[in-house]
Amino acid sequence: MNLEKFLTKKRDHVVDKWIQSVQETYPAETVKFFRHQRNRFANPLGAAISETMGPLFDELLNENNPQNISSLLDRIIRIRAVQEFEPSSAVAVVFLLKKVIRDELKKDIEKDGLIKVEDLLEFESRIDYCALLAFDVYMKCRETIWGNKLDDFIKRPYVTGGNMRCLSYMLKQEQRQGKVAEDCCNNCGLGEVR
Amino acid sequence: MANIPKYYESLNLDYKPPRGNWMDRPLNIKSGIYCYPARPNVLAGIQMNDRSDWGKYWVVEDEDWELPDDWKERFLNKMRDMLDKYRTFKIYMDICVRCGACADKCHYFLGSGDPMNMPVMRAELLRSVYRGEFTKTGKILGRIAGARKLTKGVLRQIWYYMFQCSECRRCSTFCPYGIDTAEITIMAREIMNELGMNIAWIQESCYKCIHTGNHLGLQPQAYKECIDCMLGDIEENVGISFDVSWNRKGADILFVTPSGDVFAEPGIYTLAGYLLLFEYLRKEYGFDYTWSTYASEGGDFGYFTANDIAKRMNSKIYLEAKRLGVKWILGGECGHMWRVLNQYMTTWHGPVDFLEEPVSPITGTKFENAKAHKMVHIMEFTADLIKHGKLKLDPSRNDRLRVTYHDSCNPSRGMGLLEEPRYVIKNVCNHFYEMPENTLRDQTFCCGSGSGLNASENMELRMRGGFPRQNAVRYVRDKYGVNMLACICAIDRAAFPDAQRYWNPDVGCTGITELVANALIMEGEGPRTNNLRGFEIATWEPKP
Repeated sequence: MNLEKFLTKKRDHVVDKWIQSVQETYPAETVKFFRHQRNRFANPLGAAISETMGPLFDELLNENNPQNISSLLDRIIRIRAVQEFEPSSAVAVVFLLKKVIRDELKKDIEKDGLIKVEDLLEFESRIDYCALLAFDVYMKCRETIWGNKLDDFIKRPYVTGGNMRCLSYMLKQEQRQGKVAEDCCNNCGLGEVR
Repeated sequence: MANIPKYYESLNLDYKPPRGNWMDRPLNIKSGIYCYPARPNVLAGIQMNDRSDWGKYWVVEDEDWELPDDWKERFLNKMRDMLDKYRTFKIYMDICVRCGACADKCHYFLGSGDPMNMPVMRAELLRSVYRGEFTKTGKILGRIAGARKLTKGVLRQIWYYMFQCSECRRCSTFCPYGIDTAEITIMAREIMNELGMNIAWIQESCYKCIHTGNHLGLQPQAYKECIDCMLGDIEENVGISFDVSWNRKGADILFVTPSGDVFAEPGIYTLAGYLLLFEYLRKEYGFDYTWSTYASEGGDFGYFTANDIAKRMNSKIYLEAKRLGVKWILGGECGHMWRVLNQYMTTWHGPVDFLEEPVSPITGTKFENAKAHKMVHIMEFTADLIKHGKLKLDPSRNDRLRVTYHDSCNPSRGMGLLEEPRYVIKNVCNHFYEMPENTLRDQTFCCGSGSGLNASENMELRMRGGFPRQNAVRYVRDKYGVNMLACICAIDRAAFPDAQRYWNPDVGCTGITELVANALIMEGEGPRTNNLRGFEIATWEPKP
């Protein structure tokens, strides 16, 4: 039997297992909540997990389009990038699928006949590629975080250094790019470039 | 094929977090989640316990927090004082049955998945110490009764999680006993002040506010110049020029707004909105108001640290109103400011017999809800104007915007201001869409950065906290093409741009008065091709 057929047949089961193993990367009390609360606004994290894993699996199995994979991964990795996880555990959601598939194959392989090694390796390569894309997404999220921090640092000088500059001046600088300090009313003395 | 290797078995990888009793779990203090501690000289500047007697600035991630020898007595004595002084605190410590109704209501829990962020667990941190140190059952039964002694480890945990609560009170809406978990956070923070353990973002704002009148530390001339700059921008974009009056005795109304609106984007455009709206009213109806460089802050960060500091910072509003001899006070769009004004101000300084019961000079409407504290919210004021047809509006100028409204926690849950903002938006915009019901009104989600957690170093925490709200925004963005999130809180306006750059990079953020001013038809205005932000109305794509 070919692996693709096998996975298509087992699709719902595999996806459920995958969702479950992603959920279990959270503490036990949280997992209980994920399963109990179905409303996607009352349980946005649980909803993101359960709504993403299925389409992501289908994408890996059928289309394998990097753009779609990335945008699906974005939903889940963006959340994990600001949670308790180390970077490796944040992107590990992808690799958890390998474990699920291997467990399934082990159970059913004797019954359903042989699956070609190259099929399995090929599918696992897709998962590996998906993990690399997850790394891209993760880094993009972290860059945004640092971008936000840097932005604050520039726009909140009253906190960081006590050297205030007039906001209207800063905005004008930003919008017109290139014009100099005379552009500001400059009465407050805050607008001067140091 | 039967010999498929097990999943990286040799590496012994396990992504499951530790299970077992929460009291035994290790505390993992992570950078990006906590705020930097306040500097001793700042604390000294507002006469708070400043560690100067043991002389150390502490580093949160260090094992040793440089505590004084008598730290435990200090903590417990203060806690005892608070339990004696505030009956609510004692009741909240005693009556929780751990039913779990609040457990999944906190935006920090929903965003982080960390069960210690469940409101019940956060309160339990302090409650377990209460049981272990103050009750007989707790002392005898120990952990069976959910009690434990106060240790340095416990103190670390309490500090870490009490500064992961934005005091938004969503949890208390769901508590069948009415326990206000935010109040427990307030108490815990005040207790930890005994050890000089508060955060820089809050205490520096308090320090600046006490010394210059506002959180940003803008001195009178800078405050005035910031507004003058905005008047210049208005002249450029609207085509009319005017001036405003400062510290003027005998004005009818004193206007007070959070200083965030004077010096932060996009709040500053809301400020431009106030200026334009008041100028319109002055020209049409002789509206008589004044700004003050002394009462230059409506917000009150003292509220996030200690009752006395909050009272001290708030007192300037009434003092200034008295000094100027105004009739009543009009307040700008702010969040916690309104909770303080509505629920604490008269208790602190009342009775307010030197002011009159607020009556709109234009429509004659009596604001009976403001009878006690004599302050009217700009949304109540504007909604009343629109209701009486006193504003000439052209909502089509906001046609590029598809607006949704975020109920800011304190005005909605704290003072029940639910319909007025919606009424105003619907009259100045043609495209308004509501987010899902269980994320709105009294069930609204916090922006994720309230109660003084709007710093930069805790950006990850802020993103976690902002996730449930942004999840709802994302829904209306996908469904209706929403591209603008309106709110009535200065902290929201400071917090949302960061959160939206992360979660919804194609949705902007605005105060409602900015929308009003953009739609307002001014007498003698030039061609209104630009909005207050200086962008062309016809082509503008809002960004966070």
